[in-house]
Amino acid sequence: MNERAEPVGRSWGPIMNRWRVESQILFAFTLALVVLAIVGALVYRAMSGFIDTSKAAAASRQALAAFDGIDSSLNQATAHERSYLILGDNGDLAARQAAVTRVNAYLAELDRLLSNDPQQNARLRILRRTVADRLLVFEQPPSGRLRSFSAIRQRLTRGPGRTLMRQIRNQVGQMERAEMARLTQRRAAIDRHLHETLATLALLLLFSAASLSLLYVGIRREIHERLQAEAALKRHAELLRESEQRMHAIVDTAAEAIIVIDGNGIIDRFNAAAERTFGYSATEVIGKNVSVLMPDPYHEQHDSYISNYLHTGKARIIGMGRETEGRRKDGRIFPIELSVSEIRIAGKHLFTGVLRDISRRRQRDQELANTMQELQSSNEELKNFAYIVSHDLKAPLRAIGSLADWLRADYTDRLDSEGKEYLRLLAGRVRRMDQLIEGILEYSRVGRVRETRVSVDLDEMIHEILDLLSPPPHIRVEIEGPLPVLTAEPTRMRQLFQNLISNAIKYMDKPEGLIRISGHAANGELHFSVSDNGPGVEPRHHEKIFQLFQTLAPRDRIEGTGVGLALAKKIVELYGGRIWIESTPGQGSSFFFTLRQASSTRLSNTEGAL
Amino acid sequence: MKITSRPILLVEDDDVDSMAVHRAFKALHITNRLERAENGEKALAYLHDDTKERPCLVLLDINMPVMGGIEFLRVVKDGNHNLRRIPVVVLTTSAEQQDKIESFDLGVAGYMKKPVDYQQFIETVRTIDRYWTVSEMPE
Repeated sequence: MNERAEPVGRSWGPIMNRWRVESQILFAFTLALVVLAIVGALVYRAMSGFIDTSKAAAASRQALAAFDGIDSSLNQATAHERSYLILGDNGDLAARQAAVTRVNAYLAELDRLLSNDPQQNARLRILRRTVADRLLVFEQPPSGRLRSFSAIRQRLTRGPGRTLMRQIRNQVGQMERAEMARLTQRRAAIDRHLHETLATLALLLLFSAASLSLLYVGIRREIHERLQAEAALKRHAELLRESEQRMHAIVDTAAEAIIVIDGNGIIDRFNAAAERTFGYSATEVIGKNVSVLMPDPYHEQHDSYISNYLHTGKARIIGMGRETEGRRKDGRIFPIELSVSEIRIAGKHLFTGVLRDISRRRQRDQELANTMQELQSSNEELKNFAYIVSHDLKAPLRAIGSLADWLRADYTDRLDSEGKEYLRLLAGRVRRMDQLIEGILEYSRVGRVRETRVSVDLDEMIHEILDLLSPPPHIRVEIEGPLPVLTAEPTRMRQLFQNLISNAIKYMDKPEGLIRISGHAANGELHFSVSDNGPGVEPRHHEKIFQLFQTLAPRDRIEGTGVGLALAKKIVELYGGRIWIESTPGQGSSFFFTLRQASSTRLSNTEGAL
Repeated sequence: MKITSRPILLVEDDDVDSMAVHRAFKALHITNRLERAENGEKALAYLHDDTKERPCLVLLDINMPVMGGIEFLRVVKDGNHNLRRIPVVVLTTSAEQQDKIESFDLGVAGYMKKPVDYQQFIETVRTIDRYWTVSEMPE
């Protein structure tokens, strides 16, 4: 679930990011537009100011030209007047008129050019009047050369003509100066406007360059991030695919059959092992209800089981393994071991069943049970055998013994000494056979007949045994005490020590016999030894003497059943220990044995027979 | 025997063992009549037969065909108290702990092992006789 949640959380990131980036770009563009508009307005203003000022400057330059024109045209007119007065040529009159016309034209032009300057306008009006006055000086008297050249000359030289001309020149000069000043002013304004415009344009250029650079950087970064995010996404997808492939591979190669079903019991996945186990191919069962894989009784229960689980949350098999049955495609029903686990993906319940065909295990279990059964019955037979020996063999033996006795008693006068000897031998053999049977019974009781384990004080027990055996006076018994106290069956312990000690007494061949008994605890075990200075046992017999009915001396010389050491070995082994002999023939024997103390509970589980 | 007028019931399948008891009785001068039943079933039939004289003691073998000694004891224990009052001494080959426990659980008065040696057997019977000479028993 967590794995699925992560990409969802991540997908919000880009959206937030994109929104942020877009708003940033929008903001940058808006800012650029606003700045551009402001800068544009500034440029427009500067340009229009520049144009206006340029126009005004052009007017000033035209005005200055007009002033020059007036000056020169007026000079030409006066020159022609003089020429006329001297020469009387009418051609001069016409030329003067043309000059006057030019003067008027210049005046009209100035009138237009200086219309927006009241000061210059006022000066122009004065100039115009003065010019008119001057021109009248020549024109006042009826023009005619013959009439009075002298009068005109007089007027021109001494009269107002010269004065007027001086005035005109002054006025024009004044106006020219004023206009020059204005022109200078305007030129400065043009320069100023030009600089302003240039500065603004430079600013605009800088701003554009800066914002473009910023945009470039931003976009570049964004693209980079996107590429990275894309690569990461791709990598992630690849990992996901890889992990899914791995999952598939694991599921498909698993030795156990794996079946995934949804909350409705519909099979979602069916691995190769499941195909082998059930004989269906995955395509055959995917999409079908899982009950096709179950034998009838489970068949019906299953659907209600899942819905019950989903409603109540009570699981009967989920989360634990159990043994049930499956049905193959061919209808064969076989035992399976099934464990079901639940997964929740995006709110959907899926159940994964891992199962194994345990037919073979069941078969093995059955075989084992059969073997156990056989073992138990053979064990029983062995026990019964001992019992049969005890009763059915002893009864006729006793009969033989009794009859031999009665023969000897009732027919004593009719029997010769040889017959009586035979009957005596017969009675002896009966007794020996009885002892053998008793030995077998004794031996078979070890492990078969159980006694409560109690604390056994060996020091005390050994003394009791010695009292019972009452060794002859030439045999000394030493006990290297204190002997340990152990938890055991007292009868078995008594049998064990009694057999070893009685053997030592029975076979003693030395005039000064010595029997030494010792015992101590070490490494969780009890170590004992019973040593004697008797005849000893040759190494080749060391194994044999622990076998049932094996004796080294003829029974006629020393009575022995050959059960004692076998019995001792059986008891020792029942108590998790071992027994062995170390001996130097002619000098004596030492019997060593160990008994395990700690695992008394384990011992009580061992079942032995015969 | 304290009571000499009543018979002793021997439940024994082996003829030689039965002979041995007879011989021992004779040797020890035990005057009680010895009645023999071959198995538990026959013993029960004898005890339930009103025409037969009620024994003062039962000597019981354990291992017998048809009905063994332990089963006989079970029937007697579940039966009427007349039967239960007769002392039963087990005289058997079996030295099995199980047999001893079951016998005493079912209320036997004694448990004797038949020795293989006849002389020893006589001693065993002698002991039984002496005991029941000294011991009181219900009429």
